[in-house]
Amino acid sequence: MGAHRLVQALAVAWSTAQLYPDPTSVPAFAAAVESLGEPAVTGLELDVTLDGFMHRGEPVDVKHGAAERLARALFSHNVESIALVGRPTPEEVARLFQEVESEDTTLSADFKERLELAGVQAFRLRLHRLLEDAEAVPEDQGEERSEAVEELFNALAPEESVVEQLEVIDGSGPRAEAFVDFYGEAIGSLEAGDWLGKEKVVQAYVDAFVRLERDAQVQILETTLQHRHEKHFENFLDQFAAQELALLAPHLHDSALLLLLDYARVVSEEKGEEANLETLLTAEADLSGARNAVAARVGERMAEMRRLGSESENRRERLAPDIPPTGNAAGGEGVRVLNELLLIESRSARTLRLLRLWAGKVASAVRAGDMVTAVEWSHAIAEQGRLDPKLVDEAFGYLAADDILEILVSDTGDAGARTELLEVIGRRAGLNVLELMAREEDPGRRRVLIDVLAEIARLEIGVVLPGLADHRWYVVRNLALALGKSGRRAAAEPLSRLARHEDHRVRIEALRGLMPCLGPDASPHLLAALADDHVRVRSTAIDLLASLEDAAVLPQLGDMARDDSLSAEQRTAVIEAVASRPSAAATGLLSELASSKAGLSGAARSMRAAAREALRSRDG
Amino acid sequence: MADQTVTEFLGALRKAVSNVQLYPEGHPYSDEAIRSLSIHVPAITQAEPQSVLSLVGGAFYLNRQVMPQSSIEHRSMVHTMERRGLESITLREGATTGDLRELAGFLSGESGDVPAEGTVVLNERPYSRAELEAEAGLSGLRRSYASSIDLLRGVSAASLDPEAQADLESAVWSVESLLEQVLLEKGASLLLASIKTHDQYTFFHSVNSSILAMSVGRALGLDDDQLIGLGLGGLLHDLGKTKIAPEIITHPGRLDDSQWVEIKRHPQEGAQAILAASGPGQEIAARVALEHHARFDRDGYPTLKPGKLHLFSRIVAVCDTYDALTTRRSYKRALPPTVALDVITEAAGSQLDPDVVGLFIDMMGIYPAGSLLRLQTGDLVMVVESDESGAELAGAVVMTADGEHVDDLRVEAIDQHEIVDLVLPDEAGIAPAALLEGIHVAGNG
Repeated sequence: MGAHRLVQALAVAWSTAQLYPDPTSVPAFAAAVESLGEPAVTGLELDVTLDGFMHRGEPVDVKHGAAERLARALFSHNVESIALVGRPTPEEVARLFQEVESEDTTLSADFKERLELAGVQAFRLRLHRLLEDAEAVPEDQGEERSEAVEELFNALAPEESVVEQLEVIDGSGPRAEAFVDFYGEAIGSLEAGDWLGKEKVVQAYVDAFVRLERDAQVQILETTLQHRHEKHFENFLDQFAAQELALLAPHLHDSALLLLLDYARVVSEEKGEEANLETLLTAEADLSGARNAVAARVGERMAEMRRLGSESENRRERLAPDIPPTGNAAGGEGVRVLNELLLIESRSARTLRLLRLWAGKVASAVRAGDMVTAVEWSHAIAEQGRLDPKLVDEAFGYLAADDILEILVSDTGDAGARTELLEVIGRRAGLNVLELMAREEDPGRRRVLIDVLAEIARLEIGVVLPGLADHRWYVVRNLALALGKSGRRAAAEPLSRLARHEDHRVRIEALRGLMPCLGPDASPHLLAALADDHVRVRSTAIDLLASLEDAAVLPQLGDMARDDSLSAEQRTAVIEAVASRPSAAATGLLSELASSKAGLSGAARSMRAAAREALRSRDG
Repeated sequence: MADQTVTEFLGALRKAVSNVQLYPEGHPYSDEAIRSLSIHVPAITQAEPQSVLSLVGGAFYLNRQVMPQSSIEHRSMVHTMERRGLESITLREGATTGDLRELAGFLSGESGDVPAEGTVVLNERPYSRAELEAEAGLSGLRRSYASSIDLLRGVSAASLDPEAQADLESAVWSVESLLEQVLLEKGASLLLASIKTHDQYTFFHSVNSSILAMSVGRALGLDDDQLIGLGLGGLLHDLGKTKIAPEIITHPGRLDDSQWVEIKRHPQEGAQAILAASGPGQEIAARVALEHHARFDRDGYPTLKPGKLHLFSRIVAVCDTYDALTTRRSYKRALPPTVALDVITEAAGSQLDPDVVGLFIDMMGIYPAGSLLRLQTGDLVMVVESDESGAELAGAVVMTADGEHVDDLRVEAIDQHEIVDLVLPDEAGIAPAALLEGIHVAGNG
């Protein structure tokens, strides 16, 4: 509540301050500032985002557009968070807003100081650290630097200042020595962490170096090479392009040239792109030419490339096959990039972010009705075998949101693609599909979901098995239907268990499902079902048995009909099963059973009566 | 070199505005900033004792002449002046530090009064908007460039929030706008792409890479859709750097192993950020970001699945390398364009695709637009047009042998046998892009 009050008060004060030149005289402003003094809001810290304020990770939602505008204005000054640490005066708040309103984001690094200077003390601000700020920080360390360096920094052209210092020294040798001394002193006078300062010094001296006569340059380079393991000399050497050092190489003493070769080797090893230097130094090229010899060499190289058949047209021809088709399936590029990113990434938190990104891509394509793109994206994960299954499950859990699944079972977009997506999702999040199916009231959409579950069961039966323990009979019934549709032999075992389910409707569907999974081998289950307590189960079994060959079932039916342990209803059902078969063998069995002398029990009599009745029906 | 003068003046003004806000009058820092500002005034009033710096349509003009480099480099000052309703600053010869302080105070919001008389006068522009705009030939190109910089600044700030998504719609809009200009003003675009600033290297480098990449794509015959994808890749290829700790990005000298590991993550960081924000047709930019350091011989980073890098990644890699080599960066000197081409040719076949390098050099010429060449006469010329062999070369003398800057830029053929040296813009104190508009007008004239 406190955060809400704080943001509300800030929003009112901000909008008032924007409307009136002197907001402190406006009652609404005074009232808002009064609210800012309440104990409930003191000490609260608000995070600043482009969308408004947040408190402890939650957005602070107020019905005042000024809150968002104020947050944006603060954000533009790189303010990360703002906290109220005391009771502010109206003037103080007005001054804060005045600074915020100036919106000169180039001065953001100084924003806190500006507020302090303006006497704003009731608010504590934390700033983002931007690249530019990082550069700006050492610049303010001027007080720590020596006078000479400060003078260097304040010069319009620092390198000129260095050159002027050196020009008064006679002779290349002494000038080179002075250069090295001045450079070392300038670097040494800087704080260890004053990187920007060091960079400025290095640049000033390198720029001054290129203005010196060659003899001085050579001597400086020789000294620098001797001390190249010292950081500031290493930095100095690193400023030069390979070509520049190569041009000075012929003028170095032999010992210095060896040092340069050593430096070139080290640099080549450390940075592949600088291998150029080593090549240049060891090549037989004439290194004494002018700087523009390089241009001639580019020309020569180009000519050589032309000789090798690399002229423009050939180049274009060679590159042409690599030009992507215009309006190319951009999703393909995205899928590829995601695949690569997942392969590279080894940090699990980042992997999870990538997987969420993936789920978002599939979901947004589904929501946009672009099923083809959604399918394309869905394969990005399917091709990844090495991912932590827990992370993948989490991503699929996100993807298997109700609204996504509902779109997939609706009539929107390509039907084949929708089914494919449902299968991809269902293989990892089958229970979500099952749950959706359980809630689905529309028979048509329910059928689609059952088909999807059947496909999932065909591919990964283990995904749907946990659903068999569901307490809702209709869920289990539909799952039995899906298992049957899967046609997998592996589904027979769970179906046979379901054939003994407490609910007869489940048992019926399980029996039906066993047929496509087992074929004639389902007969024992069907025969057993003839003894089921429920007439509809028995009836189903009779119907299903009718589709099997005589040889597979008639002997067993005969045995069951004669089994005195069965009830009259059960034995009558067996007769019905025999009677449903039009074959002569079935007629023969009926005749045999009708005239059977065995058994005097009521059940046996009922069985014989039923057999006789069946024979009469056939005769008729 | 009026543009360079204005750029330096505006830089000093920006610093003065900042210090005047922070420190009271009489404080050494505040006084020093005003003194530094006053040092730049004579250069401004050199041509005319009463010079007018105007702001029209987001561009700076000194008297009647547009200042392209200043307009792009000092976007924040453009915004500050627009907010303060300031359309022009008239500087009179011998402008006093008191009046310059008034100016800084007004811009900082410290003072609400506009000085009406004295050596610095505000909002007294003697030229109409139409008069000034008629002098500016390439406002579209300049605006596209500037708005792309603004966009990248915004994307960069937003990227500090790990959950925030980059604004790719605006990025596409920027690239479309740049493409329009690349198609319309090929030569000028390449020249503009030579603009360099050390302060905001990443932003300018990204826009330059985008322009160069689209120019290569155009030479390759890509259609508009393909060019936009390529330009987007160029614009956003280094986006991942905004996700790396600034201390590492700006670290001087060589990096240690752990810092390298972090740096090497920027392609994947960028690819992920782009992927998260991209819609259909934009994902190619993620691939470019991911692959731009992978190297043609696949010896770079990150290690990706075998197979060819995408053509756009290979193009951006060449443009990225070229622009980086020709730009002065943290602890790295700039190379003259021709030397940079030499380095690139050296890397052809290993780091870079040789065919793309060839195509790039075909397009840039051995002496790319913006190159500064010293002739036997001692004159310094800036290349405006160049062919592949350097045989057909055109440029304008920008500085005479005795060091005088030339304002009347006339484009003429350059005999390459007269070239004696390549000169770095920094060494000569010349920013080629600043001469863009003057050269263009002269060229057309």
